[in-house]
Amino acid sequence: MSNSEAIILENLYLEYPGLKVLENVNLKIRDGEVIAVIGPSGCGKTTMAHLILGLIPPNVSIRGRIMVYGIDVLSNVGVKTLYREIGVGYVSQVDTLLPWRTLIDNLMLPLQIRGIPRREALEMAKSLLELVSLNGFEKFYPHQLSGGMRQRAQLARALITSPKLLVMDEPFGALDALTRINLQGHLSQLISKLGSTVIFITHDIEEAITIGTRIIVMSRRPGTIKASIAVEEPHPRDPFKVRASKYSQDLKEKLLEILSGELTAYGED
Amino acid sequence: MGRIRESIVVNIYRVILLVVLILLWEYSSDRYISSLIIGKPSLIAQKLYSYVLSRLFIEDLSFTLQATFSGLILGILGGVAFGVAFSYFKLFARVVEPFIVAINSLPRPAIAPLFVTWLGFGVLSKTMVAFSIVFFIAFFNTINGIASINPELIKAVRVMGASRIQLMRYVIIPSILTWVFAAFKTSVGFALIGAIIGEFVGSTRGLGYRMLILSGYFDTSGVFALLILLMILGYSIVKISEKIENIILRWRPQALTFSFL
Repeated sequence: MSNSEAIILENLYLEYPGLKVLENVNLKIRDGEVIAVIGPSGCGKTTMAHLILGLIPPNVSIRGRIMVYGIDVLSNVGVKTLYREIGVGYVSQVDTLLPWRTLIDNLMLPLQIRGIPRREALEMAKSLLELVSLNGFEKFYPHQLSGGMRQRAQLARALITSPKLLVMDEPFGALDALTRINLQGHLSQLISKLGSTVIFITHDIEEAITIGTRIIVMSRRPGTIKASIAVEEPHPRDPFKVRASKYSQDLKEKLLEILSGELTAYGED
Repeated sequence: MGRIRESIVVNIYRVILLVVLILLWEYSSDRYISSLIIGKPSLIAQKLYSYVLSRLFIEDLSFTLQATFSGLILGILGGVAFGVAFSYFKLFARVVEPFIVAINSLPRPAIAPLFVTWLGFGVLSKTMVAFSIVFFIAFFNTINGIASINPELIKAVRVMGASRIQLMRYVIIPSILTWVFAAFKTSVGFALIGAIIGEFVGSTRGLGYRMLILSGYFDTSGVFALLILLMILGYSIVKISEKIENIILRWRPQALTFSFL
């Protein structure tokens, strides 16, 4: 394994009782790459993301190997090192802020878990709130915030430990179109500053083009990798400009063509 | 404005209804029906007044409250701890489940005499009766609370590198507490009932005990005076626990708060 390879998936296979979800997935992700994963719904995108995070669903049979920064995350010993030493950030589609904690306390949780002193944690949480433009909302409870604000808060919480790997599973899926574009721009800004490896799962082609430095297209279930397409444009990107640009139009067509094959067949399910 | 006026009208009618009922009661007592049977409001007021000012009242009240609150606290702690153990150790759960259901199906007044036999006439046996009710409320709510824990929260916090104990502390216990507090009000009411049952069975003090003694003397007005005190007591501790609940669960969206009421 060369040093630049952050994540390696090797012949990954996963089956729920009676349902093959992933088959023959092979993928190498370099350190600092921003991978947008796209594919028809039910193709195993989320399952794959969970596996990379070491979140193994119960009652499944798995074959193959996943190495994240040299750690075998499918082993029990591995995940602890992954979480504690490598550090991963995870943003899901549903809001996973703890409802009984204020915004600032939610942000401080990952630091609290690591045993970082409160005063220091508070400083870091405050600066991250600023980074996602949520300063002033420290004392608010999650239910008092809008969906977009909650997602920004989740992002801030995921980033607070400066993780090497950030996994986002349709993070903007539940938001309205405008908020979504706004957050895509926001995320692109952050990506250009942080340099962590990012896995960004989406079902939205334009979003994939806006975020990914490489787009991975997955097939219908059982999911495997159909295509891998680089997007050369450097971050930070402007989501509006990306949408209007020639390269993104071409890319969109290309992706749609690849995906359409998957969609027709999937419709018979 | 219309609403406020309506609620004023409703309150006026309530007061009128109450006054009419009391006057009717006062008038009928000893005229149509003996006050030995139905008591007499003026007599009740008198007894209430002299009892409340007596030393006896302070002693009885503190005895009943002591039993109520120790039963409440021990019951909640025990029920939560047991509920957690129950949810975590599947084998344990399967073994003890029928026993728990069986014990919970026992009417508490039926086992209260045993507690008196074991623990005596003091406050301990009343605490135990209150405990035996609250424990199960807390236990079943804890189990519900654990079953309703959002698995997405668990995933999110696990990925932060939380240990099993940290998961408990940061996700599981707060989730359960929501449920336990939802049952807190009910528990307070039942703890009081438990303490009174205990006093009925065998005691030397307490509001329930005092009531039993008075009813033994056919002092019906006295019994009514005690009932009024118990009503005030029950109502106030439920209201206070409601306030506490609202403070502790202030993070909850309002709509949810109402749905728990």
